[in-house]
Amino acid sequence: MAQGIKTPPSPMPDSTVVNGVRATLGAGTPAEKRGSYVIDIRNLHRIYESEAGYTHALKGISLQVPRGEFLCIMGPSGSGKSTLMNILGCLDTPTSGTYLLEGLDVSTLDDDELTALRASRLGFVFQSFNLLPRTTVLRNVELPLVYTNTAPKKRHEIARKALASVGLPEQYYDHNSNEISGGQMQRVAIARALVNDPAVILADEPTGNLDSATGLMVLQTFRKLSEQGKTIVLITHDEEVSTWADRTMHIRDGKLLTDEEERAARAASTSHGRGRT
Amino acid sequence: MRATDLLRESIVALNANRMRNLLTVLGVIIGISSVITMMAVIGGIRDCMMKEFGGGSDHIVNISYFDEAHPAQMSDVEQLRKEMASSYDYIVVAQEQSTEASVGSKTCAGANICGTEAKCPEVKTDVKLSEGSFFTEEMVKNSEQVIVIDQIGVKNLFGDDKTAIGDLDSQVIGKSVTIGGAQYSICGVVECAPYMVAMAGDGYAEIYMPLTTFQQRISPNQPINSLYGMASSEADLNTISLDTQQWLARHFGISDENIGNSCYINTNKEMIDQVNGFMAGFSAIMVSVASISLLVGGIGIMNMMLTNVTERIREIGLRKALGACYKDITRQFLLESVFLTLSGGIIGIVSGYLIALAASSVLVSTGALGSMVSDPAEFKPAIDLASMLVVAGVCVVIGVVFGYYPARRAARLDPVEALRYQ
Ligand SMILES: Nc1ncnc2c1ncn2[C@@H]1O[C@H](COP(=O)(O)OP(=O)(O)OP(=O)(O)O)[C@@H](O)[C@H]1O
Ligand SMILES: [Mg+2]
Repeated sequence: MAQGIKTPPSPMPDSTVVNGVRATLGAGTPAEKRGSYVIDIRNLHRIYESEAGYTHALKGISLQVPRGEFLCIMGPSGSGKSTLMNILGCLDTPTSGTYLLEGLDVSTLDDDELTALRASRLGFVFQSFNLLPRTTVLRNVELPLVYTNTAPKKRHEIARKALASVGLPEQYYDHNSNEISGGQMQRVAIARALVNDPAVILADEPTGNLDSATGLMVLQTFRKLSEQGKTIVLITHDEEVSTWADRTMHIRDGKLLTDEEERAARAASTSHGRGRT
Repeated sequence: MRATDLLRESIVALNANRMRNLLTVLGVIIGISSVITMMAVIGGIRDCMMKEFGGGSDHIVNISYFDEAHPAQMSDVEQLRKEMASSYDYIVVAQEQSTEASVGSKTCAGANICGTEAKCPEVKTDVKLSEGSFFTEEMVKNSEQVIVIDQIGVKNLFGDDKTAIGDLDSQVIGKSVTIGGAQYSICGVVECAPYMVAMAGDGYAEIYMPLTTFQQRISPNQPINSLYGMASSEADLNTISLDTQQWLARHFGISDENIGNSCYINTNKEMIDQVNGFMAGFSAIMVSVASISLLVGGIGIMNMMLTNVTERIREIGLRKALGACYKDITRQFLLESVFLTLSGGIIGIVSGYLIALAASSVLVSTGALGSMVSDPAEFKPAIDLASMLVVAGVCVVIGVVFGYYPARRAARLDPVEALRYQ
């Protein structure tokens, strides 16, 4: 979308229309450069306010994900992985900092515009699958298309294609989602994340609830999609999982570290006698 | 979101909790069926009362004129017909005289003879033929000696103690009755109101004969005192009554103060309006009592929808994550509650009518309706389509009103919180 439009650097904010949503590109940054990333995050902070006080969950995170990359984000429990994921998925908004999704400044959008953006540009895969029970596999996969008013016939077609691409045998399409195995459920969930041809697929611990064999199958599915050119951001705390990705970033205490920085930090923490999470 | 998808999602969701939904809807069913029962029974009573007042025809004007100083003749009637042609489609004269009628040795001493015209059954709605036909205009013109007799008269003149009302109707057509020494042939039999059977004794008979025959043979020189006018359809009954009274005053030279004592003009409309007004008030009270149970039912729906929303928080979070906007979620939950109340309403309408049927047979057989209905056999619960549609509409409104808060709560959920909810 925005990536395709070559915009010369301009002092005026540029406007882009995404899925009927009119939004303004982040001003002051050369749009050309920033537009080349699917995800472009600069100096992102997220502070939770609760009765117990403030929690600074993300402390100045910057991250660029080029199109087609399979990125893995690793970190111990409580490091802010899910917080980051929610912001990437436009389910939550940062306290400060900028987030451009395909060049679109997400902070300028209201709730319904964010919803429209999720419906058309983002795919979610959850740890606990989150399929609708008592609903067929096919219908589950179609669900995002229901919210984008896609015609039923086209919906079936897309959903079948998506299910085929995650390798679920056709005999299961008409099963209810609670009648298939965990590995199959997660593949159905991946198919559901694919149907709207999203800019990026976000997966929060997709193998967390699976045994290693079925987890492997799910990871193979992601790998295959990545090879087909899909952009994937996957969160895990399993080092094994991270080997499937093109690149791994580490999140520690709300800060993002590269592999080298992570090794240094780990060395420092083990020298203080703390174990790895 | 497409309407078909919305409907489908709601049905799937409702289907998941069939038993619970049914129990919750029971409140609405009870409320609606009691409203419908009340309305149907009251409607039935109203219909019965209407029938007594003349079948609900509200265009008939009854003119009685009895000024002895200025007796009215047929020529006056002709003039009235001509001058008020725009107000009345037609005017029928119906004179009455009590005399003796006999068949062989059987005699009715107090037979009521009504001299009238061919259109009489249209303005006197208690004249309903059970056999034969009413005499024609031709017969009136030729002063034929024909009569139409009522069922009591048939029994009294042709039957005996064992004869039931209506038994002989078909046999008496063409037979003769002697009135004032002359023979009259029966051309039709009219029904009698059942309450008349008890009230009318042996000596009673109601006999209709052509006005001309009546004037020549039964009661010559009797001034015209009773007219029935059929008001034209667009006319206002009150205006017509007043115009007619003024016409009479002018025509006979009676002063405005005295005309009120010389004539009496009344219309069915007043009576019908009165009955309707009374019944509307009555049903308003009953329905508002029944509505309280509807309110309770509505609160039950709200309570269940709130539970429903809590149970489905994760599902709502998921739907929001996948692109369901505020409106989609609100509509889905609203539709679910409207679906519940509307189906409850439809079940309630059907069961309410069935209860009214059962209740009315109990009311009739125990005589609980008393003097409100003179003819219990005729009593049928009655409710019109419009009222049923209104009730169905009320159900939709209840669904929206009591479903709105839960639906809004669902739609407002934060997707992150909702997805994390255990
Ligand atoms: N809604 C919230 N309100 C207040 N604090 C929160 C909220 N959500 C998360 N936090 C805090 O933010 C920090 C990061 O949480 P987050 O859920 O992102 O961790 P995580 O890396 O996903 O952990 P895990 O691997 O256990 O899922 C934690 O300290 C957590 O307590
Ligand atoms: Mg987490």
